[in-house]
Amino acid sequence: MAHKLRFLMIALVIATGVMAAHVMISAFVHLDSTYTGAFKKHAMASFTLQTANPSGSGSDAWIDYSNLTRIMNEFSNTEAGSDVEDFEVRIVYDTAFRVRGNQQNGRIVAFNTTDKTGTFRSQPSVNGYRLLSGNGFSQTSEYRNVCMVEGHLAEYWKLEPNEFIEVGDNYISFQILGTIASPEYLMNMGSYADILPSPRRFGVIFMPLRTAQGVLNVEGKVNEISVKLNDILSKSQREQVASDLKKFLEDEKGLKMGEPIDFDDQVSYYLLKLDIEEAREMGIMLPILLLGMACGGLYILLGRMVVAERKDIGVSQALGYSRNAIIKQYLGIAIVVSIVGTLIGTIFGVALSGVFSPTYVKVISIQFPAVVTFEWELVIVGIFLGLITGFIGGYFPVKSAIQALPAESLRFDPSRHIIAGRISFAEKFLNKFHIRFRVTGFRLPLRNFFRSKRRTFSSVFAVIISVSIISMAWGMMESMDYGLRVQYTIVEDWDLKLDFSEVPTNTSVISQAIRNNIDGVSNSTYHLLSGATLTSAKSSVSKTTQLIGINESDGYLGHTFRFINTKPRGEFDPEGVVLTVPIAEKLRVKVGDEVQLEIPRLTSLVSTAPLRAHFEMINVSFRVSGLVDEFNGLVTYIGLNRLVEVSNFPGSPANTILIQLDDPTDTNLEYVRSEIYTRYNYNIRNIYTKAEQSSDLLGLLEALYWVMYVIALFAVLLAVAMVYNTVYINLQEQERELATLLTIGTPNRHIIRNITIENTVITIIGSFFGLIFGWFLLWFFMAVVLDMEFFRIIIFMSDNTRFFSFFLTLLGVLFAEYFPLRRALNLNLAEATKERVV
Amino acid sequence: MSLVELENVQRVYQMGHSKIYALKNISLKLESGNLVVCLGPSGSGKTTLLNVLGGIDKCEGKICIAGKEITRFGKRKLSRFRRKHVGFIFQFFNLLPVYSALENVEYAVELSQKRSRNETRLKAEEYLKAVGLYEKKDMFPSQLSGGEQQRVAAARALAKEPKLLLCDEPTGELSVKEGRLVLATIQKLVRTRPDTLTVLVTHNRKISEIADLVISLRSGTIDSITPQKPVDAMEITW
Amino acid sequence: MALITLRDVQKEYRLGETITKALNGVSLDIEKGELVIIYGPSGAGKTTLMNMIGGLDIPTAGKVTVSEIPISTLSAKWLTVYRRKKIGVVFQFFNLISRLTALENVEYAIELVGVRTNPRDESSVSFRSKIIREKASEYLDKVGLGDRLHHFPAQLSGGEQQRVSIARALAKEPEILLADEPTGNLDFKIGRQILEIMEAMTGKEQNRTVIIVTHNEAICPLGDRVIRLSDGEVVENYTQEYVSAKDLYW
Ligand SMILES: Nc1ncnc2c1ncn2[C@@H]1O[C@H](COP(=O)(O)OP(=O)(O)OP(=O)(O)O)[C@@H](O)[C@H]1O
Ligand SMILES: Nc1ncnc2c1ncn2[C@@H]1O[C@H](COP(=O)(O)OP(=O)(O)OP(=O)(O)O)[C@@H](O)[C@H]1O
Ligand SMILES: [Mg+2]
Ligand SMILES: [Mg+2]
Repeated sequence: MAHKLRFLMIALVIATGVMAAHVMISAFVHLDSTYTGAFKKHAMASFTLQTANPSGSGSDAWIDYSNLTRIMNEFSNTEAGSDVEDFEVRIVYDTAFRVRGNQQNGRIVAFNTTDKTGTFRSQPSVNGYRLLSGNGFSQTSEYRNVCMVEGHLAEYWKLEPNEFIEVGDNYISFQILGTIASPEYLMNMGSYADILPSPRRFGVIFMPLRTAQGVLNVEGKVNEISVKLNDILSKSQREQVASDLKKFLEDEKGLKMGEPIDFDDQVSYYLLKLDIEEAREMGIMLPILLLGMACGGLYILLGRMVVAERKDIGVSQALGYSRNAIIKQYLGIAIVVSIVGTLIGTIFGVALSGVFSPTYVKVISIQFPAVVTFEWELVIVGIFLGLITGFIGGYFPVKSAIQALPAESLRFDPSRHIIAGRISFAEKFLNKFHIRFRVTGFRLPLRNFFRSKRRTFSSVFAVIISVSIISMAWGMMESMDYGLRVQYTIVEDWDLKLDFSEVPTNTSVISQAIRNNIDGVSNSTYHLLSGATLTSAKSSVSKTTQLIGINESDGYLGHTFRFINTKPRGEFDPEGVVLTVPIAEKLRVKVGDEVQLEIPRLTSLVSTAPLRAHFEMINVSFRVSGLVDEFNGLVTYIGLNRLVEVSNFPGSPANTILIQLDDPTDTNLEYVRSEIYTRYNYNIRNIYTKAEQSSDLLGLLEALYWVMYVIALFAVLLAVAMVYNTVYINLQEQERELATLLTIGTPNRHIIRNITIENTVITIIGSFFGLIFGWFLLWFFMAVVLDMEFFRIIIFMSDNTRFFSFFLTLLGVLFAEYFPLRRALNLNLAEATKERVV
Repeated sequence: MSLVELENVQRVYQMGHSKIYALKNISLKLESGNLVVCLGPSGSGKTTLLNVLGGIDKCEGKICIAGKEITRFGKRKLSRFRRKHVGFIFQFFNLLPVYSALENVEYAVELSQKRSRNETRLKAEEYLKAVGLYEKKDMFPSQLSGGEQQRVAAARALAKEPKLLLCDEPTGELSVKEGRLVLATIQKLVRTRPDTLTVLVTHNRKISEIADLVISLRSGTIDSITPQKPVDAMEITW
Repeated sequence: MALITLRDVQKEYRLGETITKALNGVSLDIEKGELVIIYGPSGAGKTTLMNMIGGLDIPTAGKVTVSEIPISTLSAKWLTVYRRKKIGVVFQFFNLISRLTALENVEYAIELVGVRTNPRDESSVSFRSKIIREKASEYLDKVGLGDRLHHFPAQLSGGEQQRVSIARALAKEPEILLADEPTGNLDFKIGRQILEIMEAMTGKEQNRTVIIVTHNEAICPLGDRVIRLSDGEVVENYTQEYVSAKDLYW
């Protein structure tokens, strides 16, 4: 009975593994079909091409709508443009919003609601959308201040149709018609300069083209082309068409265009892919881990069972049952267990994936309905995995445990040590110091402990698994917390952060004014955030990263670098750049190497406030002065003065100001914030406290936390189950000896003491290795599997976690000890001592 | 007062619909200083009788030992009673596999008596010598032959020098020569310690010659109780 | 050639420095149909010798041949086949399977050698298992345990357990029966009954070979051949005019 229960437990672990495998892998399949479906249905652009200076004003910023339409039609008719299926010319413009009185950043996407023939259309021909609630544009929308809010932004503020949102520097009121999902914004992200922003820092609204032109004061103009090509084209073919188009526009039509962005490199999709990549690895590793544990559990259980039943086996062998027949018999058990597990797992897996996939799609905040399909292949893979687990877990322990000669199996006890008449190393060691425990004292647990390698090993092994998995699971969460804590207590060295709508050129003056005029401000400085492409001078690999220009002239950086150990030592050199580890790894550069930074250089200034200028892109060489491993993994730090110098900017441009307070209490923070708003309201988009920013981030990481909680929960359950199993068998095996001890008159408390000591020692030894192995697992999961470029997680495990995983395991062990011990202490002694049996 | 008194002792097993009377209505008084041999064919209830005497099996009726009614003892008290006063030679030895022959004997001595380690050891060795196993004292049960294991079991019970020595078929695996050694040791213990009682169970009629009192069991009931003049163990044969 | 021949068989156990010689150069021949008594004091090497003949253990040196099969050099796999086809063992320590009842313990052995069923009969599984069951209870009846069929080993007395072990070996109807102390826990009446069954298996009726290990000198007259062991060596090996089990007394 007890056996059956334990096997059922293992079957359930296998079931969990198979189920997890099915659910997780099919979630990715479903996710994949979900977004490819969305791309197809809503005609996601094959590439987009913006003007050279889309946020500026002037000829390199805006192109006449009808002119561009004509040119595009012309291009479609050329040889190079023959694959163009459709195109859309639009406005895509970043500006400020005010939602319910809160300022925030955002983007306007505007398309023409009238088609070529002059009739109304609710969807653009390229880069469409899906209506989530409310209404789309109607015939009367053109020219009116109406908009549709993209889902992430809507969800963040819980925006409803018919509410109002204020748009642009002049905060013009727009009525919300509906909320939408867009394939371009599967994830809420607009540029490489700002990775995974909270919907507060970046949100999208769609509006009719005419309205946008009115609001932005660019009548009849657009600044972006989205092109849909024939689906069969490869990435390089698409890029060819894109560069042909760019050339056509620039060389033949004299327009100034930016770099085309291919479908695959489209920032939100790119990030989604990265994110999914990690999650997919996790999704594969987790079931493997579970199945591995099931396999280990089965291995231990069957191995122990075979040892416990060695005399049965010996008798069978002596009677003439062959070794193979016996192996088959036990293997049969394992296979039955795994079949049961696999069946349960598959059924639940298929059922659950119908629920899980949509939830998963929702959790990573994709606003499209999940496409759930039944995946035959995965069912087969799951069954295969489950059966393999059973086979491996069953075959090897049995095979190695069955002796060739029955005379050996039939002996009193199979311990090699004891049969060879040797005493254990530990006992010899103790004897050397003249420590000899009494026979009624510690000698018995000591002997028992070294009684058989297999027995001790399996117990220690179970403890190792338990401790390592619990500590890993907890370590995962701790690492996340630790990473964030380090980021927000050490690395981000500020109390308030101010974002500008437009880049002012007199930031140093503003910063100084804040420092001098507002009580309680102790320090302030400013940063310039943008995106930039880095190329290694050596390997000529390139990578687009966030670029942060740090003002070093105030004696306060607003940022504490945590350099990793390199030779020479890392430092922040205002003349060089500091890279994060993932960038350095990708570019294969070390401290001291040169990297090329592609930065805009001002060719002519249009206005300084707001900054409007014409640029050209130049490559400037910088020396890598240090490497940091920080939570944000895709950042290049550069001295702002040097950046301004090479890019020929006027004044001191920056888009954020960082402020440090003498005493950052909540009231002080609020006071300073309101002071800044009242004094310098012009151009300020938002001011955050650190708490606000980190809670935004936590919101984004919610899904990840969820996964980890689930892993941790499973880990603890499985670990305790595993330890329970082994301890249980160990004791059951000794039942007859315990009965003998009891008949001789050994007091119960002696027996309880001995067994507790033995198990505690096992737990301590196992925990030692378990913690080492747990660290390794943690490293494996966090650094290898969850190796995310954009969020770096520092591996961290606290002493509390170490103690906790030891303690929990010990608790499991003592709990496991209880039932079989109670059973043994209440044994029918007459029967237990009478048997002359196996 | 007799050392051991049994009053209407019964041990009944329910097997499905039928009842098996391992012991049926047994009343008995045994005085200390005696060697009692209990004879009976296989399955007649000999082992069961020893088990209830030693307090490791439950039964109906009343058993008093040295005036104490052990049938009313709780687990703890029973355990203490066994530890202090009972020596058991099991029909099937039940040695501790992780302990050598010597340690097995030492264990019982140490458990029942307060002695220095040295004394404990000497006592254990003395009895191993008596049963002719001194040379194999450091071997583990798995290295011993059947007869050797049986003698370790005998030494373990004897070395306690208990008030109540219960021997179940102590010569089952032994030839005449070795058997005599064990029986002689038992006999000697009874002779030198008149406050003790030994109950020895066997199916071998010849062995009963060493007894002061022979009890014949048949199907759980007492067939006959015969006092007799004991023969010296070294002089019997079978 | 004799059915069983042992040539200079040795079995050593190494204990750190010291070497125990459980068998020290045993040579002997046993003919088919003989009833052999192996007699000797405790620790003489009787069980060890029996293990060699039964293919349960292999000698450190020397050669064991049974039916011209060199047992001592067989692989584990063929040893199993040998045990299955030829050998029945009554263990000194019974070695019953505790999870099986008396009846099931015997069935377990019969299952192995199988039962002959008439191919034209219903050869269904249930029919087969019925035959096995009948045969098993028949043998348990023979050893006087007809009323203990459904007891588990822990619910049997010592002698009863021993008889289950004997029934199990007999039920295989082996060519060679090895019985280690088969009467050690039995009273005289039952013990003699068991010996009668064994006697009937030998040359006198069924021409099987029976080897009985004992420390009871009174049993020696039963053997066609008596082998006396001491300290791992054969000290006596003689054939004799046997005395029928019916006439034994101890
Ligand atoms: N695994 C072992 N390691 C060391 N010595 C052993 C081992 N097995 C047996 N022996 C020794 O070999 C000798 C012969 O043992 P065996 O079991 O054959 O004796 P036996 O004649 O059957 O005796 P008994 O009648 O007591 O059963 C014994 O002295 C025993 O101590
Ligand atoms: N747990 C049990 N359940 C059912 N019957 C039992 C149980 N224990 C013993 N018996 C039966 O009780 C009877 C007496 O058993 P006991 O062990 O006392 O016999 P014994 O006289 O010691 O015999 P032996 O000489 O064979 O050891 C036997 O017939 C046995 O089958
Ligand atoms: Mg008995
Ligand atoms: Mg033997």
